[in-house]
Amino acid sequence: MAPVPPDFEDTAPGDARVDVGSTWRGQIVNSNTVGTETHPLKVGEVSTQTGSKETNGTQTDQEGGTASSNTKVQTAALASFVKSVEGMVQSELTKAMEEAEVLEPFTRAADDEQEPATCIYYLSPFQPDDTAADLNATSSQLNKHRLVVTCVSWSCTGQTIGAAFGRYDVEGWCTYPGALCTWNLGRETMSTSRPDHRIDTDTCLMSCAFHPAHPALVAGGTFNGELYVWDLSLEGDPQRGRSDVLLDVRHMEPIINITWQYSLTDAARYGTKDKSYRLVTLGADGKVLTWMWHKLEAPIFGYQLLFPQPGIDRRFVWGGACMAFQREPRGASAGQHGGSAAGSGAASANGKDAKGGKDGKGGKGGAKDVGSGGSGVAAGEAAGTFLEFSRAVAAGERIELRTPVREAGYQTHAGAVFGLDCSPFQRELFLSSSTDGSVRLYSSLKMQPLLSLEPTSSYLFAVHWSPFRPMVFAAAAADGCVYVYDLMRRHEVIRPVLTLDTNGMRKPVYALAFNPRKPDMLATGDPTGIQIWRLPSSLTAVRRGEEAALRKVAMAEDVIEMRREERERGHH
Amino acid sequence: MVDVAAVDETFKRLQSHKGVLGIIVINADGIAIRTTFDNDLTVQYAALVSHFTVKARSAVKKLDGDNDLKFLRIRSKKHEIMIAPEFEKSHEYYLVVVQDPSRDS
Repeated sequence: MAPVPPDFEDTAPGDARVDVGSTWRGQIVNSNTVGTETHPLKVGEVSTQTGSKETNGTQTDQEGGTASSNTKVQTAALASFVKSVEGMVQSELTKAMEEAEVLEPFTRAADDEQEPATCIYYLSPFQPDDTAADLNATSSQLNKHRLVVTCVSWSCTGQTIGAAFGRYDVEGWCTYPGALCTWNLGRETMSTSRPDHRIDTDTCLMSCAFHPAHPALVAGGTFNGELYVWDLSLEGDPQRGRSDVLLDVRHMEPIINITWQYSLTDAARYGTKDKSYRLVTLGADGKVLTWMWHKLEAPIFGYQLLFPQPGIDRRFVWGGACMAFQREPRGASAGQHGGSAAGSGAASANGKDAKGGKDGKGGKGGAKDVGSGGSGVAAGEAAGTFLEFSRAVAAGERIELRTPVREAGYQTHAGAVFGLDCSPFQRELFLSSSTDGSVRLYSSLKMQPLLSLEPTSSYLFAVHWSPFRPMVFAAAAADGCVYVYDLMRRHEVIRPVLTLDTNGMRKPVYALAFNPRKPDMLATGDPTGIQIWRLPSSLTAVRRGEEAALRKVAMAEDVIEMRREERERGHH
Repeated sequence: MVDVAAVDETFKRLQSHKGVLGIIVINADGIAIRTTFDNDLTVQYAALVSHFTVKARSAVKKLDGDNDLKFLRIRSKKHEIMIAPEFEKSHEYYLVVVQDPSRDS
């Protein structure tokens, strides 16, 4: 009999205890054990056999001795035939071999087949020593500060690779020591785990750059805005100069980019190759300062990047994120490396400030490419201005920095712009890469990009033109891949021709550098170390008419559209 | 027997060239009389190549009666197939050499 369901009105609030009977326990199905069984299998055996067997044989009779003589004639004929054609076949075999070698890159290009690049070195000071000499590895071999490669640079000879180690995720004061490590790849006893030089800095090292003419001079910029110049050929302490940290005009944020710029004035004044270059540094605080590397006490000139805002009269400091200078096209003036005297640069700043942009959130929608006229060492600036400036800086006077921004109307990226590079072959062309995952090709004369490519959906940290192939460039992404493009390819310009997976762990690639001397070498830097790649010949050998094709690209409004028209014309 | 040795010598010399995969000599009936390939491949090459060569030759001869086919080279994606024919009635042979020029050995 089911219990009477409790009526709540019955109980007095004093003894508020109500028992609610289970509604499901009574419904449990009763179970019984039942057995079942099948009948045993019936098996039968039957055999069968044929009754009889028979064997038959057949044979032909041999017919005299003609056969043997016939084969003799045949072998003789065969031998003479083989002999007569042998020479021809041999020459064709060699010819085919030679032809195949010559035609190889073209057949690949025709098939759109891409040879892979190979990683020839993996260099990192933070890996177990491969020579395994000392078991009690020093603490410097463990990456306890989790430093990443922030910048890579090749020396002017293309022999030495330098890497700056620092961190991008530092908030507030930087308490992590940074380092500059260099490896000479030409040395026979090179160790991938032990750099030839290791220079420790007090704070994270954020950028480095080798001198364009002196193979041992290297400049480095730290997180707190200090600029160093080291000479690796010096015995003992390699430091040659260091900027004054207490000066009024200095970088107050990390130095993002260092560029050596050729200066006609200095070349005339000093007459030596290494002193003909000045240093131009970009800080995350939006300052662009020019230095003489042998007199680092004070900058000789400076600029502040101020950005006009539509509708407002005021201009804003957004900070700097990357910088690149226009380069004199090859062959125009042989003596000039890199920067032109009247060089105008293109500097770029991202959304709010450099630090905010790093995590990709701060830079939302605010990126702007800015062609800055005359940053660096403009010929129009009289030498007197520089002197005045440096005297004023030394005297501690307050100086209003000028803004070099000439053009801020370039179509903006959707994210912060971290990579910028001007074409070494065509003055007005430059590339930008952004955290919105796109690489864009701009002409400095046009506001709209000529080409917009999206290799990945992750951030892009760096983009560089190949110094040898006018139509080739590479972009480094946060997904651990480097995407190489070749605009010379007839088909599918919008797809990277080569993707280098640098670490296989999807760790971001922050830095990228083509070797200035060896066309087939490329260096990439990721959180674990640097990789040296050997590029396939299809990406290093200049194609016929490539520079002309680049000029054509520079003239175009839209590269994809231009290509389509070309192809259609080709079909008719 | 001297002749056989001479043929073997020639085969060896050709085989020593870079990237040579195999050599076949085919007679007028399309039967391989000497080969370095395995049986299946030899039969296939012999049948297909002799047909092809006869066709190619007839094309050349139809264009110009005095002309004759001397040599055939077929470049394919993977291989080079070279055919050196001899159309003399008493000893009609084709020498076929297959080469992969991208191979080093």
